Amino acid sequence: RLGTLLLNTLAREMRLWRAPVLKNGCIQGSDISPPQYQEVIVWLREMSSLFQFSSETFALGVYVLNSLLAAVKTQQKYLKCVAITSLILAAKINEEDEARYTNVSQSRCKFSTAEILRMERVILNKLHWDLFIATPMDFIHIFHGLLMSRRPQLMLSISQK
Amino acid sequence: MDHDFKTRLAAERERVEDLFEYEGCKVGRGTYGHVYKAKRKDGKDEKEYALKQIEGTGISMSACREIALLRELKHPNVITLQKVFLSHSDRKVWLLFDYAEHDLWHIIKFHRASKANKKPMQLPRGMVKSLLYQILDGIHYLHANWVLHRDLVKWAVYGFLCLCVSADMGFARLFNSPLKPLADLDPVVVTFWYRAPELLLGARHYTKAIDIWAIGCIFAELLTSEPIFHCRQEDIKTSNPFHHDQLDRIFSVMGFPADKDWEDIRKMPEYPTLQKDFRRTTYANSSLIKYMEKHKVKPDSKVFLLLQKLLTMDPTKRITSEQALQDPYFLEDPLPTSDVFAGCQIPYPKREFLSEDEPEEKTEKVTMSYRHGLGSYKGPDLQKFACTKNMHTQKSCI
Repeated sequence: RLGTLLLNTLAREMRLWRAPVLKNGCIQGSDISPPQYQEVIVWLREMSSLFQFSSETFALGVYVLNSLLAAVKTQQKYLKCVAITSLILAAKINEEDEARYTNVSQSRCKFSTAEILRMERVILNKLHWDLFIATPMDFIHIFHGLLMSRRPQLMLSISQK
Repeated sequence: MDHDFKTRLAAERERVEDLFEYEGCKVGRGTYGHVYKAKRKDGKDEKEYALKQIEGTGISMSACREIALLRELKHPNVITLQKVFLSHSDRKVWLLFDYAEHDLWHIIKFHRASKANKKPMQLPRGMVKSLLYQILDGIHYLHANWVLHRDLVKWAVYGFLCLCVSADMGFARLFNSPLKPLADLDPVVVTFWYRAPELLLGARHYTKAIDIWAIGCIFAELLTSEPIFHCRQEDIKTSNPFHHDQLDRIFSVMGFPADKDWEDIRKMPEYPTLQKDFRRTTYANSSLIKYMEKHKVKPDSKVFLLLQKLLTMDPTKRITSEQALQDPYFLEDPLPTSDVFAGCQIPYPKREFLSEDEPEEKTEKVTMSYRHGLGSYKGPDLQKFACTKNMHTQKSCI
């Protein structure tokens, strides 16, 4: 069963995975430099833990952002707005508690709800609503599951520590 | 953004009302929103489409998940999402699907009504077989994929109703928390008649076997034009999973399960209540064989043998969708066809248009005639456009 899951997730990754490419020291088609990109990812991590999103949500948020950067020429000034909106979309897919992500737009980031809503439409349109992107978290879960089912003694040794 | 650019953008933007003619063509309404029968305005094709306007504005969590999930699903017996429109003026979300003139729910209601009016009309056996095959094929696809998506699990349980009848994933929203016991769900959506016995005895986990039981119920109903486990349900709003009358009905058709037939029944949360309220001897004379013989289905026929495997009390012994698709019933003539109406006339009326501001009570009255013979049954809030996709292949009016 885990084997099928792994194959399915791989197929999903093949279908939907896209990453931005570097060209002339910037992400292709934009004026975003790698340090700026890194900075926004670190900031997104902070936001994600501030709103108590799961690691899965954060990972998916980063992947939504990556897909968008790969698909659309994005100006640096919009980067933060794209990033936080990606995280909100990931939360909509992943989190159970609806109240939590609605607060995101109001607290601590300087974007208005209207801006975020508009960005949301742009992202969804550009990504054709394909939001179930396979993330490293999915693979970690599968590998962990495979390992534990093959070597159950590992689970015991961990719980004894 | 400068003004010129904004107006240019607005002009380029595809607006659903510019592309499709749907005014006055509402065919469904419910908590999920509204559904319209639509046609392209530019005449690029003459196909009929279904446009679903999602209730509420903006991209809510459930709308977001529903659409992302629909994008993942690809199977001939599962509805395909053609396009998403986001209206900028009122922030409504519109989904475009292929239109289906008939759905399983309509067909079932039509035959129930004809029987209740003493003019019984049997479904052609070939059509029953094709329908069952397509339902099983669709549910097998969902079952095979549900490991990928939490939402799909919630959707697939009872999903065959929404799969073949409504594809309404808006109602997957009702199943938002997987830990919630099923009985907490909107009881109108999840009717008791198709509930597997383990659910009525307090099972708290979603399983594929629950869908299979429900498919068995539908199969029996397609064969007999009567809901097999029909039961009056006055207290449909109950939060208790244990439903005495419904269990009584199941046992009076099937007989009380022998200990060896369902060993784990002792582990069910409501087993003590069952022991207290029910006597095995009451149902000594009942069996599925006798019930189906009354409806002229022979116990040695392939159709009966498959029904029996679908309606197995013990969920661990119930057949899976994969096994069912391999059943000898589907290898026997007539073979299942991809057009369920192949070679037969379609007696079912076309969908009627609803008026824009018609109050809900009125639509209730229209369907009352079906319900008279059936107690106070309240149907699930079914969306009225989608069904096994091949069902709309015939386009002529009859």
